[in-house]
Amino acid sequence: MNNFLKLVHFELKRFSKLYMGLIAIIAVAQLLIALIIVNMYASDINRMLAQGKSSFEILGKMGKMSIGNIMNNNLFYMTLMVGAIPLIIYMFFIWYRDWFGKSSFIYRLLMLPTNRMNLFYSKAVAMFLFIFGLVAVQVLLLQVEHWIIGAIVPRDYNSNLDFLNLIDGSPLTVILPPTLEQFFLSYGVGAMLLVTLFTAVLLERSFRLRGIVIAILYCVVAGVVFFIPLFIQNLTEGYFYHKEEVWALIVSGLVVTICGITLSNYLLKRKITV
Amino acid sequence: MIEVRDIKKRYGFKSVLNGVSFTAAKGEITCLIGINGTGKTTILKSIMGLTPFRSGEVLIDGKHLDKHAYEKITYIPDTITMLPSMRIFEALDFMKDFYSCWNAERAEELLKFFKLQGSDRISHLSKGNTAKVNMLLGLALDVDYLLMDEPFSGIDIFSREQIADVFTSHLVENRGVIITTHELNEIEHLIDKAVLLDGGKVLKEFQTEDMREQEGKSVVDVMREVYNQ
Repeated sequence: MNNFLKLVHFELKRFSKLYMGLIAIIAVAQLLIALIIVNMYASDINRMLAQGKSSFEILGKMGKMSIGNIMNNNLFYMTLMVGAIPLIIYMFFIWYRDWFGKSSFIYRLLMLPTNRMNLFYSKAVAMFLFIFGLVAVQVLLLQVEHWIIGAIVPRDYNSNLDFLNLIDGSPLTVILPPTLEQFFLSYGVGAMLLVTLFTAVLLERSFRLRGIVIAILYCVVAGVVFFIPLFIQNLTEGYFYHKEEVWALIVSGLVVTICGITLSNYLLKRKITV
Repeated sequence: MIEVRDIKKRYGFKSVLNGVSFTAAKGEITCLIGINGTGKTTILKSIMGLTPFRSGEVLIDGKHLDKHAYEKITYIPDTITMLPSMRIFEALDFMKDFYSCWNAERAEELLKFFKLQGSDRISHLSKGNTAKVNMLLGLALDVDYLLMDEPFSGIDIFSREQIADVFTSHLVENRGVIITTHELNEIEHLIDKAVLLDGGKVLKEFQTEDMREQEGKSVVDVMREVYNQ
């Protein structure tokens, strides 16, 4: 196994316990929310049936139950935040944990007989695997929630809609893009943000106090460069066709990502301080 | 040979190294001596590429430091370089995974030498035993050069003696060692070369044996002369 894969494996192992805990919290919270929502719906139906209302009247008032009823609940989005916020924090922590604490593990990492950029790539890949893992768990949870609806709600009141159709158009499309093109756009922007953030951390670790200012400036410049096509579009009131605008954004995103990787490579080789 | 040539470094507005130059040969123990803040640790970090310097150069056997050099030279800092949550055997496995120059037999030998238990968690070790694990991680690498930063700092007398025994054993034989220490008494008789530092500069560099034979002075005698001037 080459050093890069060993480092990825090591990064995954280091976060595995917390990550599993995170998944458990999300799963328990989301399934509880789903059970409460579905049971409330079922008891409402039973109550109305007991009052002698017809199915037509009930459906007219309540609508059919689908996974959409769960997905549109604010508590459902809170469980997504429970997954997203720790991962966002960990994007910083994945670097800082090597500098701080009882040990100076960064000494060991920087003295490994391997290209130092492998540290950068392994941490980035580990972050993406954590994100994909949570997305996979979310898909699984939606399927389980779909089964819960089927098990509790009578067939006549269950829309039985495929949850993948319901995702289309909902905020979940950001993490579960329906097309391959959108997948690359969504996760391409994610990769760019991750590289920019990692570079900002390395700037701070290289230049310390001055580095904080440089890192903030770097993030602002990266943001400006990425949005240049949109600025042009606004100033010229529609210079690009939509497809051209998307391509221009892809190019500007690639420029930001490549510059971030190049700068990080320079910092890790020439400027990093422990 | 490690050649440090005219290294200059600043931390903010403060100059830490003002043109430090010296050499450390393979098969010799070179000791960097100086009070706190003279730049001893910074020199070691500069050699290992762990902190940048403004000008000057470091050559290891005539070459600049690159990723392959970490199979030739290693650094034992004064803090543990492994995760505290690891058990000792996990730390050894980590080293074995990444370094082709890892000598598993020697690691086992060192575990016995230092009387350490492989199943012990690093975070549960005493300061002395943590320092020994750190030494083990460096010494079990088949490298030509070892840099050690204050290996006797803050540890009990028995651990100090055990670590000092390393310098008379085959564990450092034929290797180039650069060591920084305050506890000179422990190893004065073992040093081949002394480099006296102050204010980020080399004040004096000499072979200890020559100094003893030609001028009848010990390292401490020369230190008194140089630092009391």
